[in-house]
Amino acid sequence: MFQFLSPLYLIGLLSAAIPLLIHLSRSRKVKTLRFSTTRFLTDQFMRSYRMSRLKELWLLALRMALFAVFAMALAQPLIMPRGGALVSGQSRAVVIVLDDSASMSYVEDNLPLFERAKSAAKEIINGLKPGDVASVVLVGRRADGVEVLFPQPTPELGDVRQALDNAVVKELGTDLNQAVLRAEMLLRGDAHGSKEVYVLSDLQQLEASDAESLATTSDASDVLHFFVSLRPKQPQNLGITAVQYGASRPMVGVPFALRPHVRVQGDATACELELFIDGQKVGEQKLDGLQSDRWSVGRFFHTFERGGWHHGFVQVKDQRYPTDNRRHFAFDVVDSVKVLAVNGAPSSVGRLDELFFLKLALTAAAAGGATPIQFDQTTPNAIADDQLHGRSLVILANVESLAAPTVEKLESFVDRGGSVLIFLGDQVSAPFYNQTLAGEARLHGGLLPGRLSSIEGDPAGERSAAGIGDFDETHPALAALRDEQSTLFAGVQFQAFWNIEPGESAVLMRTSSGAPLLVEKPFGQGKVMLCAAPCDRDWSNFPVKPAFLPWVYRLVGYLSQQRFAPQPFHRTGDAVPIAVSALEGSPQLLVKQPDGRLSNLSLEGNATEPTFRETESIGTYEVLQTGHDKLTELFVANLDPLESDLSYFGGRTADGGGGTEEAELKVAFPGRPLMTYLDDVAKVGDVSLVARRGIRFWDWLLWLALAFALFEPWLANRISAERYMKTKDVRQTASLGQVTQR
Amino acid sequence: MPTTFKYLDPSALGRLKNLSLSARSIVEGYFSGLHKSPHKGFSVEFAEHREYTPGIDPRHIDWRVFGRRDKLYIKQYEEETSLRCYLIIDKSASMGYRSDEAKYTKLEYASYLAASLSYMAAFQHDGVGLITLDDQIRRHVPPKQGPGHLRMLMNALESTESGSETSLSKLFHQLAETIKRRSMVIILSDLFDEPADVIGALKHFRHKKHDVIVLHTLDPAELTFPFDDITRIEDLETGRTITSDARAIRKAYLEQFDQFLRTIRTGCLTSQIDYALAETNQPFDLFLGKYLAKRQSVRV
Repeated sequence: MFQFLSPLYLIGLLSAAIPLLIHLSRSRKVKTLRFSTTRFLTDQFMRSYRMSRLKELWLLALRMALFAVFAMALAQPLIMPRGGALVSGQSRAVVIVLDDSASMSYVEDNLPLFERAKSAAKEIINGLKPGDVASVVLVGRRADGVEVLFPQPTPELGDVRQALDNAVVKELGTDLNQAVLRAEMLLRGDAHGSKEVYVLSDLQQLEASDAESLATTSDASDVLHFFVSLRPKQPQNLGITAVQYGASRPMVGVPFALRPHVRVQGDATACELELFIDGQKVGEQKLDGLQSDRWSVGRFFHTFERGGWHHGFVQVKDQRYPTDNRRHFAFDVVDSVKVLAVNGAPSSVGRLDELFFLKLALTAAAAGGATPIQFDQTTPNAIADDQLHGRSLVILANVESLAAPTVEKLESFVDRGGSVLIFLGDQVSAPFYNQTLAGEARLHGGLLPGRLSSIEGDPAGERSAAGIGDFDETHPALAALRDEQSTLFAGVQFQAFWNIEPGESAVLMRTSSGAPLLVEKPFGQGKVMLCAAPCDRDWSNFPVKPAFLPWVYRLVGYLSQQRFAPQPFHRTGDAVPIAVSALEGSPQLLVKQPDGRLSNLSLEGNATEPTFRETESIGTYEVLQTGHDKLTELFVANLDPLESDLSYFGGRTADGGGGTEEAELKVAFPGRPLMTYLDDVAKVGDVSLVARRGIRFWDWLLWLALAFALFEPWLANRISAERYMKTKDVRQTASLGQVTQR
Repeated sequence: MPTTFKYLDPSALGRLKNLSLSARSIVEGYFSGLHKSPHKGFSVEFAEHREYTPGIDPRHIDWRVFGRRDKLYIKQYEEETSLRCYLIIDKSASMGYRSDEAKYTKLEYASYLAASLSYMAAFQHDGVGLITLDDQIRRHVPPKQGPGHLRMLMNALESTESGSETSLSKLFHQLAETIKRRSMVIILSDLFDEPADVIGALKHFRHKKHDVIVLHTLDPAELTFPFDDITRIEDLETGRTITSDARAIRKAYLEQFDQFLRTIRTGCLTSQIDYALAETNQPFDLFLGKYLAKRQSVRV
């Protein structure tokens, strides 16, 4: 009994008809010849001829068999003995590649996909016999790579069954390619006769980078690969795949925007979103008009009342695939920013002072509240080292020039992670700014982001030179202003502003005439922003417009954040560097995981900062100092967004278009000729038994095809020699034209 | 002689004018001609002396012998007589075959040869007869001389068409018994009959002292069997059909045909029968010229 691993190639059996068709087409062309006599074609000869024809039919059969055997060999037949006897005598080494990624928690027919995968895995293991070995590789993307439950395939099959029983689906992304490679490495050099890798997965489409890495594969040509698809029949999902935030760092008292992105698959048309912060539900929103395979975006605003670390999540309700229902976040809310403002045009008259409006904006506080910004000011000649210590931002407001040592202090300050915000004005000395602050010989090419050229407009006139034009909506400091762009900056007019040549610096805002208005330059570990206009009313009405306060708040909030502040958003399975230790010495740290478990955090090897690797759960992780449980920072781990995308090999969805699964798998996993795709998990047991008891018959068929290919010319030549060899010229017998001598 | 006869080609006859059809053995004849008669008489060519007996014309006494030996001897001469030639043409169905390589059917080719030979014989004042046969003797024209007879022969040749099956050996035996006087018998046939029987019949002619010439008329395709592909071969005489790969049966056919030729040729050789293979794709005058020249060179 045959089982074909690539039955599609059986179509090639039709090629066996080619010799027959040629033969028949040749036979059909029967000519009629009226010949003088047939007396020389005796009956005895014709009997011999028919025997000869029989040989020719043998040759025809041989040629047909050659085609057929080759086609059958391509179809990879396994021969199975009757009664299930172990004919091949091959022992087996089996590696189960079990997908424990989050998408396997999808529930269909009241059963998670992962449970089906476990059942199939156990069925495969149950088909093994004493002497066989097995191992299990988990597909989930972990910080230390995919998890191998048995580093050496073990003959203790009971342990393997127990490990499968204990396996649970994880909130991890998928690393299928590494899992397959690890499985093949386990089988490399194995002495067992049959090497088999069973991939039990929903077979989500790989990331492009993953697919590229698969091109560099190990030699796995002798390994039988079985890709068993466990995909849902009709995926339905609502998941939050991302949350965008209005600013990189919220500030106390400033409304903070959160924009959750909901991924929709299936027929859902509406959903409820909920916002939780610090364990409290603080907002909810209904999204309507959802469309399958599209993202819908919600929006929340939340105002933090106190500084420090806060965490929360946005949630959507979906029972079929709950793992991606929440998207967590954590922020170190700024509650106290020390800002040093250098006044370049002080005045005893308050509203004429250069810093009047700026200070007013930054020190404003809600009723009964305190301002989060500690605003200090000084003069250009009085900037001292102790004034810079502990500050994260220095503002230069219409400063004409600075002393050389002061410039060096500022350069050092910014290089170490501080920030400088520069407002230009009528006092500014362009030669000083261009030669000193933007001098090419200075550290990092100078502090100034760009060069000053001229003043645009008439500072003393009434006529407006420009308003506020476009700005970079993607910049963290300005993103929160995007929805308000059309109205927020309406009415802002500039009588004059400095023309800036930004060079390689980023232009964040432009005037309505297109001139750079706000320019940013990274400088060492810090950054410098340059505004083409002053922060008082000398050249514009901006400081008295409502937009000025949120605008300057976000700039200050953005520039005040610590350079070493950890990026608090990670994917589960990421190795998370904990940067606080680098700033605060090397205290003994603990990490409290979302489920409450504590893990020690220490330096590994020559690392300068510890890395936390146990990020297998979705949620908020707390970094604590040992002993007094002091919270140093929070970070969150969210699900890999790709896990929410229920797109699979062979099409966008299970019922979508696209190529065939097997074809795409063969492309994605090149160099694996013995690959079989199963779309029915129920068949895995049978396939496994075939692999056990079957003889790889295609090897024999290939040998047979080779033998036929060698035998065919011999037989053909023999027949040809018998029939078509050069014949004697009978004229010699008859002595053509010769008179017989008597 | 008119040249409107189909089988008389003036240009071919022109090339044959210096050749003659001569008997290789002494033949009987009525007229003084190119052929030696077995009837010794008093002709031109001296044969022997014989003692004079009363009653013999004294003009034949050789006086010079009488002067030397004092006995009366008479001169006896071999008489050159006219040839009696029978042209036996096989007009069986197989003789109607012509392949693409040949210009004429075998019967047409034989007719050309027969016409040329008849003309040459008539030119030599020999008597020429014609016999056509297939499964029976279809026409029997006794040998005669004269332009009128030659014209009749030409007409007879032109009216000859291929017939049915062959019974050569039987008819040859019949003719051997029929032709009483010693003659030259020229057989133009493919001899498609049992070769042993054919040889036996030819020997019968020889037994009757006839000078037998076999001009074995064959089509080149019969000698090479140049056919390919699957072919339904239909026997012109019997109607028997064989469907086969012609290329595949060529070797066996040629082996059988070679055996046939070998038997015929050997039988002719041992029976002192002049044998020549006339292949119909060569010009008949060229063949006939070569044959007659060769025959003259070995004339006894």
